Amino acid sequence: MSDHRFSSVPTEEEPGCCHLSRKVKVCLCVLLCVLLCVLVAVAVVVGVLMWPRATPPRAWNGTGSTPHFSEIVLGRCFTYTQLLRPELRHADCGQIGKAFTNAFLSKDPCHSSEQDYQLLLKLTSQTIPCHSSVFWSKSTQLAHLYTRVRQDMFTLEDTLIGYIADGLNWCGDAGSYEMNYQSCPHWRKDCINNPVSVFWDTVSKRFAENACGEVQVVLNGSVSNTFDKNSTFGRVEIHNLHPGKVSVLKAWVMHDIGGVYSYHTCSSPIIDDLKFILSKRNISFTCEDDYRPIKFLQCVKSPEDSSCRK
Amino acid sequence: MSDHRFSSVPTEEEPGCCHLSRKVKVCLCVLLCVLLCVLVAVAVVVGVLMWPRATPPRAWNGTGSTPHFSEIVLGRCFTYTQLLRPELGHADCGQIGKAFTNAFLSKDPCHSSEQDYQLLLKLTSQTIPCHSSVFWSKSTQLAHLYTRVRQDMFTLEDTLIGYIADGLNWCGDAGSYEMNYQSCPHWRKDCINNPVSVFWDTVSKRFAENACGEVQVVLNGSVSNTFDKNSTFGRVEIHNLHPGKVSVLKAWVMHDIGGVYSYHTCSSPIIDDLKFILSKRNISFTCEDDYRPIKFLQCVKSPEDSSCRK
Repeated sequence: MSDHRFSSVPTEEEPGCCHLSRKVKVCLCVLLCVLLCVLVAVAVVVGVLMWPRATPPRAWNGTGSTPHFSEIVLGRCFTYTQLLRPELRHADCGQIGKAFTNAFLSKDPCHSSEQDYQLLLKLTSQTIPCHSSVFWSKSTQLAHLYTRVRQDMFTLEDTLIGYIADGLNWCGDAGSYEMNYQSCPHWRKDCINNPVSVFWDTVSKRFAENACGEVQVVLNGSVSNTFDKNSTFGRVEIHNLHPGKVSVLKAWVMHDIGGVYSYHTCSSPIIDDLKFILSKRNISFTCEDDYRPIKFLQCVKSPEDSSCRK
Repeated sequence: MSDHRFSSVPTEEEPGCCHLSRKVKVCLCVLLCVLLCVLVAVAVVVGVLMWPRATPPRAWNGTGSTPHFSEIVLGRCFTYTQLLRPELGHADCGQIGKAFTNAFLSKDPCHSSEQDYQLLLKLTSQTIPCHSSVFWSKSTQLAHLYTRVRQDMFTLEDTLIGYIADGLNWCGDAGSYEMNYQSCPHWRKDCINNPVSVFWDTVSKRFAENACGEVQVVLNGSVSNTFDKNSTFGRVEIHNLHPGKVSVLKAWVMHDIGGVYSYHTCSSPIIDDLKFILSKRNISFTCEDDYRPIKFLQCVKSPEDSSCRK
């Protein structure tokens, strides 16, 4: 009889740690190899996704996206819905932020369309009372100061969606998951269907469609293009006012205090153009030069001007 | 001779997977046990940290923290530093948000102190030009409309820290890592050294300390306590104006348009009280009733009032 010691060592085993058999060793090796392959594959995918592009993003002629765009959007949404207009506190700001960025991320920023913004529009729908819509053209500061005093009146930038987007810039890139902070398409030098232009056309159209009762527009009589058919007001808004809802569009033609030259007034032909377009759409029109409540706003800065003296 | 087949199976081995020896099995078992213990320990710790408190947070008499406080703070900080005052673009909004919440989280909300806010103050320091500080008391809307028109002038709420915190509410709890959204201490019914009151006292003090040149205050002559020694203006700000820096404090006593009763004017004894306190501190004082630029602001809403007629 051979001398076989009872031992836990299998006959075919090779010396090594843990006293594992060859089969087990092979098993483990294969497992390790597979794991390694998976890790390498994951690393490659992550690397491809995260690594700065070999080719830099397309360089446009316009300013890049606003830094911290998403945080600003979220913070403004909560500020508006929790503090400014609590009747909207049911709005889901997380969803709104996502719908906003999804409208342009990973898309060609020269082929933006109204459809891209449909979900965002849906999530930010808001009823503006009749007789309270205030349009404006070449008069942004005055118009917004006016609605700041008259909290019962709304420019587009006093609505939730306008408040969120006011002053921001944004665009993406078809081949990237990120916003382009370096540059964005310039409306004139690159392309008109860029994310920002399309956004404002889209929300302006809706703002006009929803306006009802007496609506007003603040115009600037101290510039040459007081009524500009290429402006958002002239190109989009007046064409989307609903004749059945809007009883009258009241224009207020304001003139700079101490301005050297007063280009246009309510009697100017350029205002007749506006009146004509509206009448063809069956919308009444009235006009007032230097509407007094807004004139008072101008007097805050220039109290000594003759037009401000009692 | 016994028939021993060559095999890779060790003699003492028990049938089982992977043909592991008893020692290895024991090793693995111990390892698994240790892992399990660690997981359980982690789960317990996480559970203790995250589980809703067995005892509900202390119920105070004041409104709870503003929902989405942190997102609003962050969004406002970025809006201010990127869009409104880009000269502050260097500010670290992430750090500012953290310093803000760290000032009151996990602390007794009846023992807040100036020290809690020191880091936040440091991160939001800002130079306000001379002749541009506007204080206010019982006149919040008018004062802020005024600085909205006069962008070169600043109330506390036009500074970075004031802009961030304006209108918000916040408090924590000594035994919790979370903000209390149910209630917060009421200044009068609970305790004066609550996080919000201490915050505004702290930043108002700094705002006053930093004011230089001609400074102004908008007062309300249509209320009985036109100059209120218990207001932030009367209790904190006038006592922290620096005589060496402030050349004069100009008071504008405004009266409501169409108001039934005009309580106080510049000639009222209550204004003498203010003048007296300032003279003891060697600060000059002037007073004007119904300062015209701000009167014009009131006329925006009431253009037909006699005080507004040309």
